[in-house]
Amino acid sequence: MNTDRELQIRERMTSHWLTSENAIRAYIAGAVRSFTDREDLLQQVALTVARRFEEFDESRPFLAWALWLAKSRIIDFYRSQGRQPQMLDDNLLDKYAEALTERQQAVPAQREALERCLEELPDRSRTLVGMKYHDGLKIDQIAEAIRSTPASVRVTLFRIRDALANCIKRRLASEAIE
Amino acid sequence: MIPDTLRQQIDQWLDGDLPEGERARLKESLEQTPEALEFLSDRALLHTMLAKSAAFDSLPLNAALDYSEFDHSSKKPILQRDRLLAQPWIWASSATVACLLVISMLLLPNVEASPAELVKKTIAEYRTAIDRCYAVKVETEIWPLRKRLPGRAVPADSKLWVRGNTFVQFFDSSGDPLVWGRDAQGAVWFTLSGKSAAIFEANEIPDVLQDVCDLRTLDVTTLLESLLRDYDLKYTDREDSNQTILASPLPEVSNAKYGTVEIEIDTRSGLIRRVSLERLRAKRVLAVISFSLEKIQNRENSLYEVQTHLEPNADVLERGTGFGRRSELLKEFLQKLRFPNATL
Repeated sequence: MNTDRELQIRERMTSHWLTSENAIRAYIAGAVRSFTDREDLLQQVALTVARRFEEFDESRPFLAWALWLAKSRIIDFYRSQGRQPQMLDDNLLDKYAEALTERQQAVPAQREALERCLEELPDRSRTLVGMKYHDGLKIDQIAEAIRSTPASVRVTLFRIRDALANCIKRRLASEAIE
Repeated sequence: MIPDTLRQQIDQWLDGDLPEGERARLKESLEQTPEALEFLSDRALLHTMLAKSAAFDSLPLNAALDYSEFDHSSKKPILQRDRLLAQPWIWASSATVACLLVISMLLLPNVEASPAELVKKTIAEYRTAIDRCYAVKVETEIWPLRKRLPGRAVPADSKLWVRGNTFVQFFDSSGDPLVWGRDAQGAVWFTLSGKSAAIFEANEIPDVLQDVCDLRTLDVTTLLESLLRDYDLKYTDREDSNQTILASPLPEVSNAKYGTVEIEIDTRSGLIRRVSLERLRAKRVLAVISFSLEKIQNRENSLYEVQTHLEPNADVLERGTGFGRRSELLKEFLQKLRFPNATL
């Protein structure tokens, strides 16, 4: 293989990956409970994509192909532990992949909207989100840090996420009208 | 709109915080309520976007967020070290993964690997538990029974699914389907039209059945390991990324199962596209068997279990039903396998 072609392949693959990474992470998170296992699986999927990229048919959506590979890795993961998938079986994994593929196009705009929506959050809510996603604290650690209960933290975070989801929808809808 | 309790359960699952007792209920809801799966998709994307939000990037990695707006006076401080260790999302940023991709591409061989190196790479690929389907063709002119039944077609075409050491093979025997396989426990089973079946546990498989396993199925790892150990390997042909290796038994190997073996491997993926091998008995070629890769697809574990291929009320002969009755059924199965159109 000549150098120019290798370079083109790497560029295409990296570009596809960066566009799809959110959805691939979301796919793994829906299927596997532990954060450590999720990260391991993401790396395995990345390696598999790299190793098999020449098989990818450019006329078809990259995300669907990558999620197909991710599904194999997830099923392998459970098999290696002698367990059935905890949350999503074979059929649901397919449906879940379809749902994420449908949403893929909207993700860049949603990310932009989310940044604006986070700015609108009250400080208290923003700090709580930061503890969860920036500091990577578990729910009970957050509860301990703010002298609250895990149940209360769960409900508060649930409401914040709802508020953020609504804010994203509202922003995208108003941008569409403009 | 799905109930709040279900939506909260989905959040908890994504937070890695859903109690074990509630997981079965959530799984059931996801199976039965399409809206729940839609919500999971939206929410999982939101979680992912939050984890990578630039809103927190302005903070240095070891900076403490200001918790002071929470109304308490003696909150327990969280150690900086704990904070750093607890940031999996940040450690595995897009940049890290993108680098991983580029590095792995750089690691791909730019120079042609030797046949042995290619076979080793393929062994590694096949250790993963992935389901692969091969079209199988068996060609033989030497079985005595075939000579006694001139004009009868050899049952050459079948589909073989393999996953590691397990397999299931389907023969379309003139509308009288034959299926057989080996399950995860190593038991070999077969069915006649789904109406009757026999199972031989791993420690009681008759030699004749073991021979048929060796002849008609593809244990890729064992085959490749024996190629590395007992064969002289040479490249013969290359088309795009597919490389063909011709393997000939080394002269000092006296008990080789296979004669000449031709194997086509996709050098990029390590996938075996085609295998053609001479099956030997007493140093004579018994048959030439060809396996061509048709597809790779995740299949349920049940594909490799006999129960999946039985009709209701099928007569199943298991351990404990007596070896004699199972042997009788085995004879019938082997006859049908060899001569599908013969009237027995």
